Amino acid sequence: MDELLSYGLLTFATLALPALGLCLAIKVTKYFNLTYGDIITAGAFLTLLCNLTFGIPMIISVIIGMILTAALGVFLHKTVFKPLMDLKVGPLTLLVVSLGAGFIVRNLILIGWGPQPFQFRIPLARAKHIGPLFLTTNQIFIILICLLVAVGIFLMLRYTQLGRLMRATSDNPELSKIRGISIERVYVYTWIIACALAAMGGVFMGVLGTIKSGMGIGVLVTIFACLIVGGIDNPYGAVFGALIIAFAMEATAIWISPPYKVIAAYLLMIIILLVKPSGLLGGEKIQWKYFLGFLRSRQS
Amino acid sequence: MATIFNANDIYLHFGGVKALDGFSIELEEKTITAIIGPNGAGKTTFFNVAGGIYPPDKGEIYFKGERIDCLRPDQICLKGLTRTFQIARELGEMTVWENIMLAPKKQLGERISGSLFKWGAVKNQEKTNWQKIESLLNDMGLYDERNELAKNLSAGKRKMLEISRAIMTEPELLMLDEPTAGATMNETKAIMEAIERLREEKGITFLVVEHKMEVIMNLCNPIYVMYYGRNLANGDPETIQNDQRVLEVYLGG
Amino acid sequence: MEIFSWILTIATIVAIYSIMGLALNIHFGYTNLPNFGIAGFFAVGAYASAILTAPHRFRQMEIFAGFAGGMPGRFEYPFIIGLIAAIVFAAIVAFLIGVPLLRLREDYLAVASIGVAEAIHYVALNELWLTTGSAGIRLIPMPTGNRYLYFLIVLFVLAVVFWITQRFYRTPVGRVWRGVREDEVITASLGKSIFSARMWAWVVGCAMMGAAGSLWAHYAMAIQPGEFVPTTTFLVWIFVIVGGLRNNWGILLGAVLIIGFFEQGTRFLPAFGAPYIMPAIRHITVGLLLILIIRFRPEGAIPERAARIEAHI
Repeated sequence: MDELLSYGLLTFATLALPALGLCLAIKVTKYFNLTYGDIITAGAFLTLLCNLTFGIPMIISVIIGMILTAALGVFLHKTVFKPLMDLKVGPLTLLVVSLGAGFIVRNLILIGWGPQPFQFRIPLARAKHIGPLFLTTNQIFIILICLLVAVGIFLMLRYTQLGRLMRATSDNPELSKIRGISIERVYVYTWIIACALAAMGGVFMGVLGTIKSGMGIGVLVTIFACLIVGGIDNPYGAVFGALIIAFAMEATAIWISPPYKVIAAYLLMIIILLVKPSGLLGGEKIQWKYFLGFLRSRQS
Repeated sequence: MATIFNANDIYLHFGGVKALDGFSIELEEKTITAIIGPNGAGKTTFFNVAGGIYPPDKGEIYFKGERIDCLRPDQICLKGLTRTFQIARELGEMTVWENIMLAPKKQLGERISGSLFKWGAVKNQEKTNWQKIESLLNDMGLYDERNELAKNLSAGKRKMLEISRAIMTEPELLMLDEPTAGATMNETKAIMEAIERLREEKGITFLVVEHKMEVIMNLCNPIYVMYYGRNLANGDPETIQNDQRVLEVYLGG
Repeated sequence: MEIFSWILTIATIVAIYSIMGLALNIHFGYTNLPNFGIAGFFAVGAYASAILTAPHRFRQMEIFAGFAGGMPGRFEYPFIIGLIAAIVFAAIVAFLIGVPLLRLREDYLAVASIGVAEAIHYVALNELWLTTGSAGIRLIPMPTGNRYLYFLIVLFVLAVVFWITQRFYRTPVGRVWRGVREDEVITASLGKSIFSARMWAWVVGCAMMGAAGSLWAHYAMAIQPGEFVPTTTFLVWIFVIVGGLRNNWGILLGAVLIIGFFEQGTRFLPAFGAPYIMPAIRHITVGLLLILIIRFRPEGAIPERAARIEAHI
């Protein structure tokens, strides 16, 4: 049971920030950008570049890594996605293109670093007891940072100018445009935040495990599960979903079988899609096709 | 004459806005009834509810004695009720003839087994359907464009396509949402004539949302006036024309 | 002759992928159902066929190697049974997956279908009793034992699949699917059941992908879970879009170009660097090609052609 708590919290810490970042990106830009998985990978590798290759201390590496990842994200947005958005293509086309972009990023990383797994150069951590948990200092650090950053983002969304702009753009892009808000600027800022969060997620994954070129895309479906379970239009839902999925995954690992962790996440996603498709904290049923049948009860 | 359709006290609201606030309507067979009202009164919303796109929050809808308010759009169409859309939604990447050939019900070729194995029967059915469609296209002035992609049509022609498609489902009740919007004088005349003819020859009942006075007054009886999702008045053209409340709503507001 | 053997290899692979491309056309080109789980249905077909046709010898090898021996090798049915089983199982999985997934909006369906392939991959990797896990299944018999004759078999299946997809396009079935693609509200309001249309397209397309999987298993004569990766799915998407989504001839062309290039195109260039470099470059090239095509010629090499009613009747 204590194991569940520890592992659950750790998995939550790796999923929560990327889930939040992807949620914000989807809410504001209104399409699924599947390059996000590879941006997570890029975050880990760019930090690795600073940390391992240049020998920069970890904390600073992380910050530089976040900046570089954000730059990558904005670069991708400007070169690949914005031209298409200007052509007014649909969200599905953008999704397909994002897969292509992800392919490119992933394989560039592969060429640059090779297929073998890497580790950050960080001091060896000692495990401590904190109540029922038995965690290393690194792990505790990660959980705390994750919570702090998540709270910070929530505060930002609620109380800052940027947060208001993001909410306005996501709720009503037409009206925002009329009011003179530069949608493109909001997109760029949103991407910067989303990529920074992705980078942190990648770094956490790297600290807790290894760094490989396929790490981001492997976790993308799980992150989507978090969003769908929590409610895709709700940032609180993203974090809440991450909590639920994390514990469901670890419970499956402990009581059923470790390889089936991801299946558990996927199954949970399917169940929520069937029972409450807008997610546990979500709003309207935007994902459904109302008249496809199951929702309606027939008279007679 | 028998009642073919009635809606009792329909309520629907979207996030705070009361789109339909207790609207009722009764249609008699083989009549052409109009719903009029200012923009935003809820006419198209009512069509959406009757057509099965949204279930009403409260109230029931009956068609030919059966309750239809919880059915899906395709089920409602198969029962004999077809509706058109206010903004003509054509199936853009398909040609005009493909658009209309989609309409007839009970096509053998729509089933996988039919499509793969019953070549002769499917081809015959397509020929038969097409013969019926050809004359309709001629009446509606669309015959020359039959091989054009629907997205390349002018706005007026798209409306005609919309209506032709609806007619080809061979309904018993046809609900037309602003059929003459954007249509030229000639097209308007053609549509009015088509409606009358279909009523005479095929016995189709019509429910029409309209704004053009000459269409309403010359074609439709009775007329229902809708205001903020509710009934305001209903009766024959004379009565409505002279109704104080109606005049206020149209001239005052 | 070396060169003929080489051409035969590419041709067989291109033909098998073409089947999946035509199936994706039914899903996405006709009915706007983005299927990103192609590799999963491919795997279901491959494994179903392999399990049922692997010789007893294989099972004995496994038992000898210490593994209790699973399903593969227990049956040793002929190839045709394997092919039919592949189609049936792929269709069943498609139906089960379709019930929850097909009511989603298209982009959600895209994301959810990625998970399908992953889930199937997990099952293939971990359910040892069923699939022998990561060791894979070997000694799968190639019917007729002759690669040239087998290519004719593959070509035959491809021809059948091509005929079926063309037939769908020209009949009311294809019209309803395209109506669903263009505007579901209208199509529903014309009396067509959207769920039914989507489900049929989904199941038929996935059954075809299963057939492709079976053909692959008997061509490669050995399969393992690591082959059924998102890259496969992605390659199919790329050649379908590059060749011309919706136009079946275009898809064949796309398969020849992209799969031909991907499998063998850089063979004559000097391979530099470590063994993972050249494949990575190929991946990047196709990814770039996808983005460029969507940006500059989204209708692909051979676009959809509107049919005339006179030609139809």
